[in-house]
Amino acid sequence: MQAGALTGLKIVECSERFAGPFCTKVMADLGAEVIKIEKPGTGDVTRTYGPFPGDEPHPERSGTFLYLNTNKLGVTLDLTRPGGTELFRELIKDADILVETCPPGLLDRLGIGYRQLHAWCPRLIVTSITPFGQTGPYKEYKAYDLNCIHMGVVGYETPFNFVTDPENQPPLKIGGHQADLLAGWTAAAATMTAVLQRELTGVGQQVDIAEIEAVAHMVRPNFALYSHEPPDGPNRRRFLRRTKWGLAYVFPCRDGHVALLALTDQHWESLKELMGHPEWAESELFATLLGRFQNIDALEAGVAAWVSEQDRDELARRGQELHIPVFPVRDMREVVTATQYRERDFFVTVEHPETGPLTYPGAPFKFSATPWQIRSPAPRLGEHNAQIYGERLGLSAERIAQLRSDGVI
Amino acid sequence: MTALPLEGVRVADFGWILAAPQCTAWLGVMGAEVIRIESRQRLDPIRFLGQNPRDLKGPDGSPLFNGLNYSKKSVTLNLNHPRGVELAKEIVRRSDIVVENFTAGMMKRWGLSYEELCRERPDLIMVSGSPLGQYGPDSHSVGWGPITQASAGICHLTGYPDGPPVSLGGTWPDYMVGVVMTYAVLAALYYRRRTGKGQYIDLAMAEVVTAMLPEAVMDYVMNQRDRGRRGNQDDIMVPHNVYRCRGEDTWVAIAVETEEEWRNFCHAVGHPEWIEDERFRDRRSRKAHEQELDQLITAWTRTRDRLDIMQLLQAAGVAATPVYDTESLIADPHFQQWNFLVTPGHPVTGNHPVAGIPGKYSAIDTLRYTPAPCLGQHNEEVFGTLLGLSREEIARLHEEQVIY
Repeated sequence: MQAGALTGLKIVECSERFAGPFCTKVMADLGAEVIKIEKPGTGDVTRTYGPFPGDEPHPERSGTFLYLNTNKLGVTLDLTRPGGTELFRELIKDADILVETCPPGLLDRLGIGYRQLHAWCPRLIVTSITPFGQTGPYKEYKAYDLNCIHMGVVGYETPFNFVTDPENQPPLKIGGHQADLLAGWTAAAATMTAVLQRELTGVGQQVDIAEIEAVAHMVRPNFALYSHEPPDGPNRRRFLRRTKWGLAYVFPCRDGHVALLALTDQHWESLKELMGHPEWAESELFATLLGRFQNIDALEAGVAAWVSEQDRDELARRGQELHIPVFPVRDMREVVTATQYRERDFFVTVEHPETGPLTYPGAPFKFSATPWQIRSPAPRLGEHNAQIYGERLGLSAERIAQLRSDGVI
Repeated sequence: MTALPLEGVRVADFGWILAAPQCTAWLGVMGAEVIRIESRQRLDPIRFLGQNPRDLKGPDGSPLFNGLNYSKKSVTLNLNHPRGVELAKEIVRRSDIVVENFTAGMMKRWGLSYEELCRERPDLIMVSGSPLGQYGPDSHSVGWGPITQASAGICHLTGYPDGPPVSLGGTWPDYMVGVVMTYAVLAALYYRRRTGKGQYIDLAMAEVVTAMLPEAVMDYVMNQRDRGRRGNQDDIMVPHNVYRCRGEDTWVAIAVETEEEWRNFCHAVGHPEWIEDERFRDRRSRKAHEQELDQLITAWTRTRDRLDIMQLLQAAGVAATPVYDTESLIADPHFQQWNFLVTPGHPVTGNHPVAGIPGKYSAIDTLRYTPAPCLGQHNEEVFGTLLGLSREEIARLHEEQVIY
């Protein structure tokens, strides 16, 4: 097995659901060692989430859990039982990083909060991911993916430039768990930032990631446009009402949908060529970028009418030949079978004792020297208890049995 | 003062538009010296976006650009001139990291491929961001982030139930990909510090987006089922939606996962009888009667203020949050206390708050926010001090439109 970029980094994950596990997954996939702590008995709640093969729930067959926990070692530990936090400290002793998603203050009350751990282990980096962060008036508030997408303005802007009837088009969540997984990426980047600082200073720190903040960064132009405008400026007004102010980019065609945006001079000239230079498009109104912005509704109506009579793949192919940014809106079958993905070996087959081989999304980027790789599937609940508690920490078989019967592990 | 995490790291930044600049802003704020390599020949279109069309201020007058490119330097180099390419290589020789997000193949055409640049700097880390990656039958494709992601599956999964696929808010996924790019670069930098070895990173936007759709991909793989669009609803949680509140186009998002949250919710909204109601007895029954339940909840929310609802339900341990527009988020006391906005300032556009870089770090007192560079602002500094060119030579290069 080749070394990964993060081989040698040791991480303990005290988390469940999406954000924390995804943060440590993307680090484990690059070679970091991750010990995942789960509650004895039930484990990470995503074990109860689907999809399941044949829709039959089974704690070791949840697609969500399996994907989010590749390359990890799994142990069980109940931090609230007597002896639980001592065992936790043993696990942390040699770790570089703790990734945790507990409500702010909970670990402090158990005696294993950041300050306590830092005093004991000054090199440790603690990455805390919560909806609202560790400080501020809402720090103890709850929020799921739905809440974070909507409070972070992304939901308010979706469907993008599509809202003509706000009463019947409520703000919309984007598909899947994008806020949670984005918080995971943000935490991974921030954690590596802290790791690199530790190389200079020798000291760890707490990295405080608020999921709502991570989402709000996705609308970052809004804040600049808003603050630079006079209170009656056009860019301010458009942030106050959820109505169409520019071009939508998904259009129906004869046999599906395409995403298309051709506003720059070069793209617009190419699009006119693709459309066969219809009379309406040659109008002076659309001759400049400013003109196209000012007459956006007429332009969009013209483009949409033309697109609606085209075949999707043909339009996308011919458009790309003319260097127009246009892609088909692909469904899941098309995504999973896409030639481009296949040629790049994007999807990978992962063997798991409970599911057999399954296809997972693979490397989100390709490293030339230290490839992304799956070394092991997600751990079964408590799979590595003996390895970690016995071999690594040197606990005797009797002690492990005792901990198990006490419900600590 | 403590050393910033990336002090001593130099970045040759060929990035433009949104994704790569988000990455290099992060690197700059964390202490790296980021040198944007631009040209009047192919100006970053963002330098003009967001300006008042009746009061254009030129390439230095864009709030959008200046709100994204802080903590960087700017030089202008004509890469269609052989001497321009040579000078770019001179900068790369003195850099640790190269970031670029041109259409695949562009850097190679200029003679600036990774192989070529490695001759200048054997331990170079280089990241290329592109719509579909650097190789493969469709790698030549052009696309902005929001267009590209349609091919990755997320537009198909976003929309009202039974409605068409829609466009996503927030210029998704550009800034998200910028964060992923940052992570990849920092991981490679960590490896280089351990081993002395650099490497090349081929990042395809579409692949990043698909890697974030595990449920949909796995459901298709396991059950050959396409999940399609579910609006604001969830597989498991009910209630899980946005509900109208008092005021025009004003909404609150409420999500209930556990049975405990459900009971707390019913008590908090003054309808304990829902707990015993056969239709809402458990998660499965609530899912089967989701529409009826949503109507009952709306009857309660629509006469109330969204912030009052948040306070009341959060006090009962229920995830209820307002749906925010930009202005409401700026005004929110929590965001204000979090210092979400920063003011690096700018000589042309002035001192206005813009979004900083996410996250708080207990061991960093002050992150480094400096104004976004004017076009070519650091030509003298970089070509003179860093590359050691004479004043006369720099003047000549200006004249020959190499520095351009």
